[in-house]
Amino acid sequence: MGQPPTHAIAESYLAEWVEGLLREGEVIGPRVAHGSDVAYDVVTSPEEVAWDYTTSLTPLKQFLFPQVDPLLRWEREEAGELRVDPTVDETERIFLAVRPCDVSGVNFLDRVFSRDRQDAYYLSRRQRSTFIALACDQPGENCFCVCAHSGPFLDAGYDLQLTRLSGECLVEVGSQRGADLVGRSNGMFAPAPQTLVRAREEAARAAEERFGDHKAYFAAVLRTVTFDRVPEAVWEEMAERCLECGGCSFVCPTCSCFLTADRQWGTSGERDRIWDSCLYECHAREASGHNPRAARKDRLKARFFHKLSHQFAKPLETHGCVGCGRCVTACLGANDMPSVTAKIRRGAL
Amino acid sequence: MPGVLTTCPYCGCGCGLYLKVNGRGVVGTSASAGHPVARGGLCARGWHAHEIVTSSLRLTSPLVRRGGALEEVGWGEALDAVAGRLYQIKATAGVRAVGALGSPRATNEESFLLSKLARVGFGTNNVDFSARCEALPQLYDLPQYRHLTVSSAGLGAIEEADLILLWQSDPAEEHTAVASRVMRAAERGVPIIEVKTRSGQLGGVAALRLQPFPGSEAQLAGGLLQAALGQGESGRDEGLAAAVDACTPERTQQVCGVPAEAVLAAGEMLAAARRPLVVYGRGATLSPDGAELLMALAALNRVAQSEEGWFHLLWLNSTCNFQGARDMGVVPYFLPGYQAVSDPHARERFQEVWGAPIPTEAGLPAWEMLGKVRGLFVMGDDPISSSPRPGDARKALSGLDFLVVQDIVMTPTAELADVVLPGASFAEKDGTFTSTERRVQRVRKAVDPPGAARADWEILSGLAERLGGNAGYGAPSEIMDEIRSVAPIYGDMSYDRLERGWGQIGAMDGEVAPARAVLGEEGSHDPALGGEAATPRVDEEFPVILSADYTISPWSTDTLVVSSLGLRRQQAADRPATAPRVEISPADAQALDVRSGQRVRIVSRDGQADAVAAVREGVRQGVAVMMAGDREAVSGVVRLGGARESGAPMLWPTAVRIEKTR
Repeated sequence: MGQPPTHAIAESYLAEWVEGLLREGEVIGPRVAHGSDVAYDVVTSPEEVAWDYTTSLTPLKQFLFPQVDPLLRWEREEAGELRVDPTVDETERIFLAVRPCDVSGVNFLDRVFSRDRQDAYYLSRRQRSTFIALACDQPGENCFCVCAHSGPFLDAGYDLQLTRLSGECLVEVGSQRGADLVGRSNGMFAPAPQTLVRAREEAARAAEERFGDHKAYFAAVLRTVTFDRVPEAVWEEMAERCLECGGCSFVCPTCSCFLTADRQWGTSGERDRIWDSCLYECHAREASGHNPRAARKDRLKARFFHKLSHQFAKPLETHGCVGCGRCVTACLGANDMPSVTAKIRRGAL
Repeated sequence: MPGVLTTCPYCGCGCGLYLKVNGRGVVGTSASAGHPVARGGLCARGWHAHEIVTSSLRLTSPLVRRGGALEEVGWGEALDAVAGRLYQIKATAGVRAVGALGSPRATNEESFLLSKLARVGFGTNNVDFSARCEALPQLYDLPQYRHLTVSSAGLGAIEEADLILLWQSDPAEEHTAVASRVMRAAERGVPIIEVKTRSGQLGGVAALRLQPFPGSEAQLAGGLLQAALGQGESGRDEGLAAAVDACTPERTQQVCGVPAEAVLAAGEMLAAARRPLVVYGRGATLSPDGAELLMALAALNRVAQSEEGWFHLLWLNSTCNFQGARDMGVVPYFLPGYQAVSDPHARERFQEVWGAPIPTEAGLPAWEMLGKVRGLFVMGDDPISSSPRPGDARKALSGLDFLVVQDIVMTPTAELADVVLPGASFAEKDGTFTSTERRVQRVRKAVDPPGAARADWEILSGLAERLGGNAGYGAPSEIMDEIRSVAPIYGDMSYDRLERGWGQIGAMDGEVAPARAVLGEEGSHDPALGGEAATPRVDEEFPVILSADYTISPWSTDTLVVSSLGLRRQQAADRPATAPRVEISPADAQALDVRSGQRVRIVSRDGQADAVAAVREGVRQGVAVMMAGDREAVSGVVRLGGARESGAPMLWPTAVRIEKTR
């Protein structure tokens, strides 16, 4: 279809546009949480949106695949009948000014949750979600989306993409849903002049340059991991520096491991899906007590094999990292993605 | 999903985290990147902190025992029953027959109110918390030693240090934010010395690992002091040299089982250090010679060639507000702010604000209260789960005339109670915690408590109205204002100030300078270094030394962990009740012909216990290690002694033999 249709909106109209979005559904956007912390959060008025942020504490998955997600509720009724109600979230959500890496993370999860079976809980939310990306012109110190081809500007995978350019905001339309959203905001958008489109190209190039040297070389590492050319000593060194907090899994936009657990209150109860981490000792533990990945190094191996081997990268269309850099912040040891890819490259057989 | 910034309710590190809240309540946790302790990371406890809030095991209604069973009642009835019975016991048996146990997990405001309720409402100084025995209570009587279980520096000291001595602590298990910093220091080339009978994960990054026999730790510290003194160039420290005169490397090797060359090497490193840091927690203090050991560790100050007095002791509080519970006077001989109940001026100051006379007689410590009082009010403590003698604690609690337990889930102690009061979790109330680095920071209410449960400060206010003592607080900030007015060390801690930034580091107890060395100083109370170690003698019948280690899976028996949906799995707390575990070295396993997973019997002169063997590198030969949390089994086989000096109950290292069973 060639160039995606583009519009322009004056920065001074943004607040009014956000007012309109608030009437369309639950708006999630970057908000100052405390001090320098910014988190994606429910926005209730336009001035809450922190437009000038670098990255948010957590990715978007909590809104599509929550940390604790009720799957069903049950109740034993007086006659002894068991009533089971599935719990499906049908909230319409608009994700506003979210970063390209995080939108890429959602696109990855889409494949995870619909590849071999359709996950009704995830897809119910996903189908009611609109993503308005905010192109990134200022990388954070741990960011490496350029290495993962998931930013700082998106080519596709968004409904709308905003680029803020001196008083104007270029709006790229990436889907019918995005086009409809623009269409409903009568009068605020104008066709984008060519100068603005060219300015966006220039901004994208400049943003990429600001990332400097690459932090992770995925192509080489994928080959090494796929063909098991990582010496045991490398995994052992990583294992010594893993404190099994699970933080890397929880902050990762593409991690999707979960377990189910039941809570019961008298004659009623709830079955929840809750986030799990493959680095936990219990992750692969079997009912018999046998644990195929009892050693921490084997769990690390499993984690990075999932992230960085063609066995997974092929069906999921890419490796399991969008370069958001959150694991660099969260890891209490030294097993964040840039460190691990560096160790694997250095130690490769 | 507005995130509510609050403080983690687990260990003493004090990480800042956000609770994610939506229409369903608290649904998740995330780390604060800006917070100076969390720095964007949390341990597994932190990442699962929301789970206790929505646990299906939460107490949601006051309960009163009728005809043997606990029945749901209204708040008025429950509080009337508590006030009435405690008043009755006080009237008939005297104020010494009533006591209160607090919790190192309660907020400062709640601890303060409990401290006040005991003194004003109950009329007694019998107020304490079980875990306080971790902080060497015997030293608290001696102001010059009080700082030994208060950190002299913040976690930032780990990044400044050029030598880190980890003393019988395993931060990788207990204090993960500390472990993270130690690991990074090791990456930068800072030498780490790990002193631990059972080497932990950080032993892997240590430059030197010393594995003393259980019970010989104070002797090893004496050996290190003498070895370092031998290196010193700054003139001889006669007092110290005399105190450690007997601790030669040869004797240290013999008594502690640490090679003399390793003792000398460690001494050399200590003497050369410019910024030495000692990191220790209850693994060091819960040993028979804990007091001697800590005095010796403090004296390392005098052997290092440190920069402008840069020497720090980083004491690791085991729970989120262990520090605050002590600061708030949940201590039988201190009013809030370490003001002695024996000091008439202090009593006068408190009487003026509290409007009632303060009892003059020091109260009973927690471990003596059980068995001596007739009526006991327990706020968040669980003596059965924390006592080294769970059987004795259960018996003492069962024998009480009246037991009240205020908690958020049904604990073994609460099961024995006459009245159970449902409190609020950390996410359901406002308040403050004081971390191991004395960072006073806010705990913020994110949701309402479940059912009829109430914030603990409201429950205490309700009791104060009935038992005397001005209550009528509208919010925890008003309680903090009262704390500020009576406890100078909290004078600056207004909520307005705490709201900005990330809390405030509190002042030291005004009476003591941080990390002042005392060993061998004139007038000091010298430890018996060079005397007999608490290591048991082994012989042919009992050839192995058994030690109960507090740092093995320390969270697997924690009430909050056990009641958390995902965390209980992660911490291996959800496993079916299998036999407890005993760790032995590969060499001993070979000699005994035992493999991991096989059942063994551990036999001592005091009893026996059945366990499953776990063969583990890092356990020294001749030593067997059990997890202290396996309390029933451990108390069956280990020698139960008192700590030297305080008599606080302690698990002594014990000579045992290990037999294979079928």
